[in-house]
Amino acid sequence: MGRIIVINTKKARTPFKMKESGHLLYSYEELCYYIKARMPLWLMETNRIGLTAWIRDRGVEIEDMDTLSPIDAAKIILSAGEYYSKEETSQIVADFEQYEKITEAKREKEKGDFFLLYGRLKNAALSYEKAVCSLNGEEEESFLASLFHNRGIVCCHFFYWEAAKENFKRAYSIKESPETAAALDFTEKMEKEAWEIGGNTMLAIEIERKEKEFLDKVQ
Amino acid sequence: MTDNKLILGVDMGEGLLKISCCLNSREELKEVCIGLKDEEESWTQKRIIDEIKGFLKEQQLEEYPVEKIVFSLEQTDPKEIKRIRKMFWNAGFAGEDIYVISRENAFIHYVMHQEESIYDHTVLLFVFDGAKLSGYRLTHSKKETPKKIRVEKSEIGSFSLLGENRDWGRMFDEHFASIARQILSKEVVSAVFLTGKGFEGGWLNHSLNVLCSGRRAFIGQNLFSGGGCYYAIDRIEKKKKDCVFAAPETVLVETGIVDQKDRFIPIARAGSPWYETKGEIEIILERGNRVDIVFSNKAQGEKQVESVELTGFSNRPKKTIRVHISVQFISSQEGLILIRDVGFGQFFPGSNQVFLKKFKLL
Repeated sequence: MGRIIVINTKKARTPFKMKESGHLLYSYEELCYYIKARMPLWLMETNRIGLTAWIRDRGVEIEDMDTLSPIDAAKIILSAGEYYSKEETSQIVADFEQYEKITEAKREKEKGDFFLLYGRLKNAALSYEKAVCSLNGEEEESFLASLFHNRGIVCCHFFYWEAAKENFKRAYSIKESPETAAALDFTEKMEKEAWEIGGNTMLAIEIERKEKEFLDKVQ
Repeated sequence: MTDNKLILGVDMGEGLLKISCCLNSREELKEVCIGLKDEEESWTQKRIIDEIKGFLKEQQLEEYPVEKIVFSLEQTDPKEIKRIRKMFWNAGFAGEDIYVISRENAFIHYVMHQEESIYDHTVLLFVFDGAKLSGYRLTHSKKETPKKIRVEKSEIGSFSLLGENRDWGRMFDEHFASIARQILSKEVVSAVFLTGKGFEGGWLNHSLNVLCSGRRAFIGQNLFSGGGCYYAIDRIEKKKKDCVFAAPETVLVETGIVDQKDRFIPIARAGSPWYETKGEIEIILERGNRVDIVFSNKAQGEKQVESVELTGFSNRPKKTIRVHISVQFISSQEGLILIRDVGFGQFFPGSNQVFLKKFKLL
């Protein structure tokens, strides 16, 4: 028999916007899931003014936790309702504690990946930069390849073709993958054909179309 | 119950329009029974509404707002229910305050508002319009928990008292006495009710002796309309019943779902007419892709489970499938389950995929 959670909370007409990602939350359950599935971003949410009141408006009784640390706030939020069981909540809190112990490079790369997912490209670029600067030479190949590949993606968004090419080359040299190969091919083609932003060679709309075509292939 | 608001009970049958009303639950019912005029063949909607308004005016109650109207019918056919509701809407009565119930249901509520000694054992009702004689039998088992009050209806036969001939009356009196004796010999009956214009005319003699022997007997035309008023009073006062009233239109099962803590969460309660029995709920699937709707008959200790498989969610992580479930009945034994994917916010937008399943109670 499928197990189910009966919803007793109210959906919000006005969503709560998470400041770091811009994610809009419409329910208490989505908030709980966000805390678990977007852990690196949740840990950055130190300004949560209004969140307690918003949760209470959802019909969940909760003590004021707007000014608590993200981990302490997470414990209170997850325990207040029935979306996660006590055991699951304990596991999530343990995961938070575990997350704090991983290397800075890994933490920054995870942040960067989530910023990229939400289209916060500058934040993604900064996080990847920090990650690269924090590498200690003990990281796994798959981690490094993914880091440089995604950094390349961010560069493409900004039309930094040469930087994108360098990152894809580095990713490919660490671990060959068809996605990185395709990205590298495309970037080299772009460089050869010498796209200029706002110049006479291409209209801006054509640039956008090419960018979308490229992103559809590599993501 | 709000003071200074009216409750109306209306019944039509045997060619008569019966109206009962009261201003509050402690007040005695005011009643009237109106027949068709000689030139009329049947009741029209306009005539019915005019008579109701005329009656209220006569009772000096026309200024009071109507809180509830209950119309009792021999057959609770959905088309007939819709027609009656429309009749009252068009006459200016609010839609949500109009109930249409079966005569069995009206009979139950009428009896349950009498003294306890009346329904200590089986209660019988005979309805006679001068041609057709029907019987209603109200029973309950003291051993059941919760107590279930049942009403069964049966057609006893067709007769004729045309012309109100004295000989015919005497013959029918003997015949009815014989029928009553036979029925009453089978079990203990604490009360008998008689209604319908067929019992008028003063022909009841011998049969009355049979009916009144060892029990109480009542005759009157407003049993069903009065029962309708009591039905409305019970709803307004939200009387917690320690019994279930099993009228033909009543849904006797609780519809619900079992949550992750093995608690039964009701979606629709038992005890209401099927056309009022519906409910909705939103859930998140913790695991699996199947929703089980449980129909629980507490009186009989039986459960029936209807499962609905949800397809198309293979890529969703655990606890992100949120669906809206609605259940509605299309008869006291059948209904529909409708499940719709409402998505999980920005994480997984709703597909609005809909899963529909028809169910039938065994």
